[in-house]
Amino acid sequence: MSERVVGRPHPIIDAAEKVSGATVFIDDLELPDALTGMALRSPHPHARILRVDTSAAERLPGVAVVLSKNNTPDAPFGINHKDEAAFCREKVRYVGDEVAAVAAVDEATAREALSLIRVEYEVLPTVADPFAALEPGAPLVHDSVAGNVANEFHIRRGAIDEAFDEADATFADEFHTHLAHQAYIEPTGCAAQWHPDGKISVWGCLQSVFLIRTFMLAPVMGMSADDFRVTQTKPGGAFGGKLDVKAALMAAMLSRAAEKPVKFMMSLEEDLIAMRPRMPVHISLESAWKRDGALAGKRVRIVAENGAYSSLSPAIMSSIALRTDNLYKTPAAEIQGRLVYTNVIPSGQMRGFGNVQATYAWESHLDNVADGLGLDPADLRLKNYTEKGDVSLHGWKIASCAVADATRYVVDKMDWKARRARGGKGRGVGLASCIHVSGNKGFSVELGPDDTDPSSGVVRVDEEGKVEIWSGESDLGQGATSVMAYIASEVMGIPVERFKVPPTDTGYMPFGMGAFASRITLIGGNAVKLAAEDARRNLLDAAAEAMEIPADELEIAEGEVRAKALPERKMAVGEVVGRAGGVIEGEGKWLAGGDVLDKEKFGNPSTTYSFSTHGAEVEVDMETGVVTVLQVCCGHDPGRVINRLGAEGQVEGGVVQGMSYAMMEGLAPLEGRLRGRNFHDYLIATSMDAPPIEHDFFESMDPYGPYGAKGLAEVAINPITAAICNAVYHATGGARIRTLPVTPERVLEAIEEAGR
Amino acid sequence: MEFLRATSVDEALAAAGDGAAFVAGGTNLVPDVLFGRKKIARAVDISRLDELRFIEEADGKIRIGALATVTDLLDSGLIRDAASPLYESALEFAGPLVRNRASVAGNLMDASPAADLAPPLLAQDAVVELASAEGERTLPLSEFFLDYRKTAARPEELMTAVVIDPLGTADRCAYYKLQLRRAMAIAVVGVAVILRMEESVCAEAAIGMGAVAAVPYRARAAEAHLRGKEIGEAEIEAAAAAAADGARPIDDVRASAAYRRKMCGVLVRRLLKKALGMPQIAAV
Repeated sequence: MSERVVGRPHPIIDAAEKVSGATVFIDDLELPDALTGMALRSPHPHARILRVDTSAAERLPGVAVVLSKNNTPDAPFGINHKDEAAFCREKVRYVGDEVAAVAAVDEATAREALSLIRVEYEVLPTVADPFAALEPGAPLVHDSVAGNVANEFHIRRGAIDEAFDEADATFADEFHTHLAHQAYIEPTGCAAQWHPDGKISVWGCLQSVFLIRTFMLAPVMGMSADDFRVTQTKPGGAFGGKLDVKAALMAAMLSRAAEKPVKFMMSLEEDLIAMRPRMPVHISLESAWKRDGALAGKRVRIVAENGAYSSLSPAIMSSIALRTDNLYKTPAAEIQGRLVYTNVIPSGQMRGFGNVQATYAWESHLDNVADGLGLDPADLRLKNYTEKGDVSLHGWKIASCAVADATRYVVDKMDWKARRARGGKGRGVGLASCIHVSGNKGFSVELGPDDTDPSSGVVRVDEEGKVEIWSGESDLGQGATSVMAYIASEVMGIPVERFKVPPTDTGYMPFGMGAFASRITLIGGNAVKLAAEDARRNLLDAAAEAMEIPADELEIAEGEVRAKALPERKMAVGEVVGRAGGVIEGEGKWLAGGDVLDKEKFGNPSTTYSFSTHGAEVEVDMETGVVTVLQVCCGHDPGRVINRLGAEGQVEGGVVQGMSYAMMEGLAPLEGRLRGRNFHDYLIATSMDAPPIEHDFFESMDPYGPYGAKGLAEVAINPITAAICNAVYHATGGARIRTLPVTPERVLEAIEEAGR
Repeated sequence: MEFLRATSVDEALAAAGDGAAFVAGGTNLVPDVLFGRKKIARAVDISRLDELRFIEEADGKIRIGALATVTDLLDSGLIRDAASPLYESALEFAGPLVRNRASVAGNLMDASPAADLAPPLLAQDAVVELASAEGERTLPLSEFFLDYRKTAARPEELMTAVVIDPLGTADRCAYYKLQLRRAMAIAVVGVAVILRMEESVCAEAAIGMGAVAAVPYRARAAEAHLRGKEIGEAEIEAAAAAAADGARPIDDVRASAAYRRKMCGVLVRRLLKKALGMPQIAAV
């Protein structure tokens, strides 16, 4: 590892701009003569729409346009099922569903216009609970979907019946997770500008500027993807929630109808009730074991809460179903999943994409198993972990893996054996591990152009020696653009300070799928690395001509092209570019490895996989159930660290965000109505709650990764929930948290249950 | 909505009534108005009335001016030494930004069942001073909260000060706020306990309860098990049971009524033991 840039700590490249307040977020964006767009949302979880009368709103002075089912085409859309409409047509299906939208000269007028829209509803019975929705005769959320089942699968792999018949011990558990929002600080919003040539520009904090055109804007608006120029604004957080952003559609439709620019900014409350929060899921687990702690097989049954519309939920359920089987050597598995429509906010993806929920359930179950087998939970895991070179029963090919090193680090740093021996009496330790993809071929088919999961980059050097990187992959605050700059700086021998990575823009940038599935460092990073190598070759060729020295006798360092043998023979990169006509470019394209899964969900969905182990020490007040996380200790295998400071931020942010989800968050639906409608009732952890975090990286040097790197964003959050729950179990002598979040009340109930 | 910035108490009082509301820190009123929970015709800004911002000791009493902020409580040695449950409640109150703006009187006038300062002030037998154009009057805080978000203050009345007796060497006290995160959280249960000891006998007992009924209140039935007694395990258990029994909590997004009721007993037991320096099962 002789790199000068890669692996060292650097600030993110736009840190100064952000902390000085210069960053232009979507709400700061000013378009001349922009109208204010706002939506009228359903007050009912389930109702038939008898009539929408917008005439009074249309007559209000200052109102440019009112859109509803009355004047928009019936163009259903959706990534997996075309089950959603821009504006509700025959029914509303959750509180927050868009019924109409207005564009007016200002917010007050828009608000008044909304109040003038008359909607006649016939209120229908609400089906809010997924198990009630599965009952025969339950009200149907979508009249055409019998039984309210959006998706269903049943997979048997390996000799599953024998595994259970011949097991020395079997264990069973059930776990339930809750509806939790991404809780980014910046509420969602988009701006759109219709142009007289019929094309539309769109701005917003979006995870994929390219894909939102193809899965939402173009099909609903009856236009082609290249009619839209979508530009990302600097992110105020996304965490998975800004992939599927209907605000972009609202802004674009209003702008086209009004023939003027429109800004459609959601309030925090609208964001909480009408975006796509993390999917709640009910997981039943059974596992079969040999006496020595070898896993023989597992059965998993999942009921996943889809909410009113599907979006990416089928893929999330798939992730929940299969993911943890690949972390351990699993000889056989039987998996059943059902995704159920309800009259609740549509659920969706958040950092972890189902793996937070799956890992919580399976890793909690593992500690129950360890207890039952009389084994140490760390030893049980170390015995069963997958290893480099393994192919899992689902076909996953493990190209690099340091999860055992991460676990041994946690065990060592936490003084695990001694603390385990001292357990009970309100203090305890627990740990949990996870595996995660770095990109997922499935998305490429569902969302992208084809099955290649591609990324591309352009590196452009100007006559001042400054470098711009154009990539279609977006930075959501996770540090993607910094990673790209550091990779390219390493390759090109040009200092990082000369690099600029503008936000993604379909208007001139090369294609990228966007930020999800922890794919950018691996896939986008490889594309940018290839582009930087190409630019470096082109620079050296140009320098060879200018300096009259063969290219292979030249090198680039500190922004200068130097003769290797005669370092005093040198020329600044900018001068080389100037003599070559003013611009030198390089381009790179990288197609992800792995396969699209077959119908039985068999195959290798990602080029490679990342791992982590989180350990937590907690104190439990045995009388009140209040849990205090005293410390967290964790090890991560991101292949290779590109930017150490950024990687540390990912880990610390992931741990605290995961702890927050585990312990206090929740939209708390009651009969389909959410109770967490503001950050007063929807709690997220503050700095006061954050525990000390000790951690390190275990670099498995992935063979496919740029400089060996793979994804880190999601392994940083997945295991912490189970680690905390396992620590609570240890601290209390057996209180198992089967329903999230880990509130004092739930902990006290579990303590009482364990005592019986 | 009309806005008036008062330059004197008299001016503020003259502008009161007819749908007017006094605004000091605005930490409750502003969100209430923004989110449509309260409609007011006129906001009377009293935040510049510096004469109402004080914490002083006079005639053996502590007077806390209406505009004293929660941060002012934390900066006051007098409060720390002679009103320690109040001081502890201020430590758990929201976060620094809110503490810098929120006034003591505002917390009481808002009359939230979960008002953090109410249990310790109730336990310390606080008296509030109310003023209107008609004149001034005083009222024990225990008679101030009438029902959910309803107080004995008339619409035109301004709370000008809160008065308490300083705690002395004979007083044993403890406070706890059960909450779902370590800052910016509404209490699930808040309890303040003050015991005045004469030798080994509890001469006076005061237990203030928050977030477990429509109003913050004194747990009189629990106190009766302690007053005039030598407090041992039996008295503590009786008081804890009475506190749980007397609570009228609700189910909400933070906790169930059953859990809150149970916690009333747990916390009263624990705080009594803590106040008296008795061994506890687990540290608060």
